[in-house]
Amino acid sequence: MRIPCPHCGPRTHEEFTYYGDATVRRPSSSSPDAVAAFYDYVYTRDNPFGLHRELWFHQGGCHEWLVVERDTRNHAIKGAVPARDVFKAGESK
Amino acid sequence: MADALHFAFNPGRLGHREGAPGLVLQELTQFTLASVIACKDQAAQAAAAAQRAFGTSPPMAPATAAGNALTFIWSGPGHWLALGPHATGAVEARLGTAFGTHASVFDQSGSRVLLELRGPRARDVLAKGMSIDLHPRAFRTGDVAVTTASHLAVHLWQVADEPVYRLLVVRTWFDSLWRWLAASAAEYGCEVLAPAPYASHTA
Amino acid sequence: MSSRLAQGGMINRQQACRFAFDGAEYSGYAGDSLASALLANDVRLIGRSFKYHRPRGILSAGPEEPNALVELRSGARREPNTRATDVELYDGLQATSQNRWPSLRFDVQAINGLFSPLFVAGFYYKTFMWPASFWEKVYEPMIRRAAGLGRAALEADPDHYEKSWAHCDVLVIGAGPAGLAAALTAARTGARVILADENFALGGRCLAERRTIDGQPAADWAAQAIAELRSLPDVRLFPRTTVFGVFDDGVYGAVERVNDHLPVPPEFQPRQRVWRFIAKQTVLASGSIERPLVFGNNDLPGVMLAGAVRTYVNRYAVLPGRRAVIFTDNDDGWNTAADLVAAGGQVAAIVDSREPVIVSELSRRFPEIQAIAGEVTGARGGRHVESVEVTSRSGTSRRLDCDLVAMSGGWSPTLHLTSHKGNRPRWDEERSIFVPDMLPAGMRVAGAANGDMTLGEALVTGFRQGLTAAAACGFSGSMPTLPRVTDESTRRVPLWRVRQASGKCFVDFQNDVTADDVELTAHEGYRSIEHLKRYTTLGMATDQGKTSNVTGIALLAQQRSMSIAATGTTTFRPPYTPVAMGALAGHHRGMDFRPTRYAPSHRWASELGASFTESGPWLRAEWFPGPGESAWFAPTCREVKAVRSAVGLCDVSTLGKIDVQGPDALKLIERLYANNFATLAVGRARYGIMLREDGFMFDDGTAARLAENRYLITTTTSHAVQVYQHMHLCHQALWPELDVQFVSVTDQWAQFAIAGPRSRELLQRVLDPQIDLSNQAFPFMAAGEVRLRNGEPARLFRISFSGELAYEIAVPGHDGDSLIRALHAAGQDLGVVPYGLEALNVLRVEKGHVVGSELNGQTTAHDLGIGRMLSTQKDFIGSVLGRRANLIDPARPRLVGIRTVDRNAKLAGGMHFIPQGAKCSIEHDQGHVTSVCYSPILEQWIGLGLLTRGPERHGEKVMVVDPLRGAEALVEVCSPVFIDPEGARLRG
Ligand SMILES: [Zn+2]
Repeated sequence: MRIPCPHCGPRTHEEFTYYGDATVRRPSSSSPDAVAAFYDYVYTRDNPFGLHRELWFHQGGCHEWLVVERDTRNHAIKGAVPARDVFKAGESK
Repeated sequence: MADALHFAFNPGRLGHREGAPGLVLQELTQFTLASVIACKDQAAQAAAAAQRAFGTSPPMAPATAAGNALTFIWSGPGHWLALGPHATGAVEARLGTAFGTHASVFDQSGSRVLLELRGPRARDVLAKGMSIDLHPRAFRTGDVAVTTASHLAVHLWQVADEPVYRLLVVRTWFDSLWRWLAASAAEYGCEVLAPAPYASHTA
Repeated sequence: MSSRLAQGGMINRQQACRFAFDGAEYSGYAGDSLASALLANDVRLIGRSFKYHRPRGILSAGPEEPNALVELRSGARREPNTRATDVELYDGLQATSQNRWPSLRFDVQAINGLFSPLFVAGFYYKTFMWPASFWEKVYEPMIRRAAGLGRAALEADPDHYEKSWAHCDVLVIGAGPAGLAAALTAARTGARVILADENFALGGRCLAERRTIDGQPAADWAAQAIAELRSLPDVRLFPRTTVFGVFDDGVYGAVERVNDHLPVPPEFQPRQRVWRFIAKQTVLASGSIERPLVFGNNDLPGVMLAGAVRTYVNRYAVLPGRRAVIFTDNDDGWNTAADLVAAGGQVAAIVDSREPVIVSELSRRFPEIQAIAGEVTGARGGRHVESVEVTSRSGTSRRLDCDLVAMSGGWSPTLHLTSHKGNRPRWDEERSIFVPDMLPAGMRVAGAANGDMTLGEALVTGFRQGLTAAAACGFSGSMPTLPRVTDESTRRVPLWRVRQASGKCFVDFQNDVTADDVELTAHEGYRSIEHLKRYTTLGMATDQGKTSNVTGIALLAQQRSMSIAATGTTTFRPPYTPVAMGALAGHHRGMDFRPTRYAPSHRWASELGASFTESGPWLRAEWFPGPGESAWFAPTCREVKAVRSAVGLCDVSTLGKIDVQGPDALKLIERLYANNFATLAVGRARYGIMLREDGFMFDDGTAARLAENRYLITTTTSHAVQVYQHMHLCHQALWPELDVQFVSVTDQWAQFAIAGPRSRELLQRVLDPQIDLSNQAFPFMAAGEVRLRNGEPARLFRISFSGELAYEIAVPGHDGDSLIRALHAAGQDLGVVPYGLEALNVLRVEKGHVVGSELNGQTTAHDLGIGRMLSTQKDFIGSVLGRRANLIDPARPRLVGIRTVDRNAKLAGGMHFIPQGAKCSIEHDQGHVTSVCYSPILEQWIGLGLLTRGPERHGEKVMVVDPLRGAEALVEVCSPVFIDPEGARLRG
């Protein structure tokens, strides 16, 4: 599998560390239902059959977190963008 | 010296003995090295500051930029390694003054071993542990790759078309990298030169 | 007696190669395969079969060979299951037959054949069901002895293997006519091309058939094509290289047998090299594999594939038999007759299973050869075929004497690599073959691999696919003039098995699966082709059913009265042919299995004779044996006592160090750590704990405030990488608005602990004399920049892991070696000792500090007695879920100290707490012992543990038990801090 790092170019997956679902967002710790919201944030995951947006860290390269769109059926990778851009924009699912 | 701790990293000929060596390897010593990381939304201002102070703009893509006394090696977005000959005075203070509030500076002079690799089989040796494409159509003089060599994080850049490469590796990993390099170069023959000061290799 | 032809072939008769098979000496030529050399020497019996130990010979001339598997070389270089048909002959080659005992000619287990009803489909499941205890003692040893496929060497492989990467625009797999054509058109555009072929000679069937291209022999055309490719700068040719796997995104695995054609690789050269080819586009030109016909005793030595017979005759100049019977269901089989006759062989008959009208039409080409429209029902012979029974369509039977049966059931595209990504091929009813359907991204198929079976089609599709592949990479070129070739016919009427066979009819030779087994499977109700495979083991051997799959599917389809298309096919997985583990490991074995990290003091420590241990990737000194001391106990006790009474030196550079700068540095630190850092003054350090977002402990360490907006974080050695990644995740994904910059400086700083009551004295001797180390000037938890006596800068921290007056001093990595030597030399009169990991562990257990055994991913701050540190005033990672009631339940196992009641009793890590008098069972389990040591200060074994309601139970006596090793001891529960609970020493 090769991941197209937007900074470094296409690199073999051995250079990356997988983290997980990139669609969840850390809830506010001060909201009244914070415990329930954090429970979902930490433990509850979809298990998509198809395209999945996930966080990968380019440990063997630029040390940037990426949001990679990967098809869970065949590992086809549609693209990768810097996590900074995705999360700065406050983008959610 | 590179503190080669277990495996002999000494000047001399290794591996195949006949003919010209396929790889010539030399450690470059006495350099200063610093991580320069642009502050939030300050990459352009940091580049401008470098232009004023060192006569070159740190690259915004994987490449090197040589200025007076310093070469900037791309290391990530808004992140460079500044490499220069050893100089008296704290590198953080010197660079910190130049970059002001536009970037943070971290001394890394003791963190890495710097190698220069050349020779007709240098590409073949590196391909035994590096997954990036080093063909001249894909990787040219001035290009940088932040990648892994034999599973170890390295910065590799090309300084001449011959090709001549320079490689930075974390000091405590150097011994493992050297074992892999020595094994990979053995079939072509490898000449290890005595270490030389970095300044003597930069005109 | 020799079957070598007087002339012809692509062997070098000037270069003889002596070799041995089962101890007997033979001779062949350079250019031979082991199989061709054995046939030239009239060696026909090569091995015994897997289940029935039947005599087996050579079936094929390529990688599909199921029978002629041999052990190659001897001693540490012995390699089992190599295909004699693929092995390149070299001078000094040694091969041994497999799967026979006591000898190849007389094998006692051949009587398995007499008990063959025992070995029918599913025999493992049916025969060895009961009683269960028989498995271990009777069945398994018996099956293992009977059913082995060769023996691996027991010694370590003395040869070197390696791995490499190569990139290209167009990868061409297979260098037969289609592959050469594709490589030519692609390379002429200027694209970067890699051409790989498993054989030692490039050319594929150009080397095996008596065909012409543009009026010249096909082999000459191939040689010219190869010469042109060699002349192009961006073409790389890889003979002896099997592309064994297709992986994601254009990554192809290949193994190059660099030196398998030599007894011992030349010095400094690898035996094999695993390549990962990264290709933008790929042309698969892997050709096709001929199918055997299914008749009685079709596994007898001397029964061969017809195409293989032509290979031996034309390429290797070997006549595999003097009197042949050809048995075919297609036109191509007839070509074999011409080649045999041209080589001086005799053809007793051509038996064609098709309509008499076809047979008589074809027989006009060979008026002198007897042509029979009918079937070979069975072969006869002991260890070699001696005759065949032939039944004509009219029903008459006769026996024909022969020593060679050349059979052809048509050709199957070699499409394995098209299905490695899970794509199934499609059944082409008209041509009775599976053809590639959906392809891996970037792959195209040319020639016979795509069902384009004639030489003309191979060249046309090769040229075209090479050009299209190059175009897809942005290179343009044009189609060359097509070379002239003669027409061929590939007509076939499939004969899946003969109607009335005499003797066992094998479908899968390597796994001894017969047509009856397949039919029995159908009778027993198995419908799925996947079940057929697993129930009969058809296609599961090292050859992955290369010669058997299609026939097996067809027979199952017939039995179930289904179409082959509806029956479907199994998919293929990597590797296409077996790959040695050594090749996959490459350089990374033994001490290079994974990289090793050496601490800055390593050279100094090894000069002192330190014993080293692995600690994650690091190699760290565990103790420094003194004169007359052995093992760990004496030096460890001495080192601990020295630290408690004088001063010790320890390399702590392995701790992760992260330098954090920027206006928002404190904000990030506050969110990473669970405890308060807002009040930390410049020049001071503080112990900090990090949680995971689920509220459990993640890591601990210190953070020092070096300047207004600058902090230095230390992590545990084992979590350095995770903490660093975690910080980047927090910064880049959770809080990208923070203006903060940080980088790992673990290697920038060599850091040494100087611990013990005389540490201040020692330190003073290496520092600039102006520096004031008094308690007022540099108190406990102070941090700052200092200068060494030589003027070089250093960082100093007054932190203590041992509980003694202690410092940690850091200098740039390349100065670490000189500083540790200077410290060691300067402290001789103070009684300075170097101490290792073992002493470090004793010191911290005595002081009750937690490490990885306690920070085990399942403990909370509350469990470890540091719950009070958790801030209630701020949001931090883990702040919400860490407050969950279950995580602060006092009934959880929590940190305690333990000391043995009997001062002579010993403790072991992992012992479980059981209340006194209670039965040692899971219901009474109250936690476990996490760390133990012999304390030379307390002169007894002590430990730390996680005990239910532990802090409430100080003074109580409980049992610790190790039922696995039968050890137990009575311990007293106490505070985890054994030494100086008030902390007077470290503030001294
Ligand atoms: Zn990257």
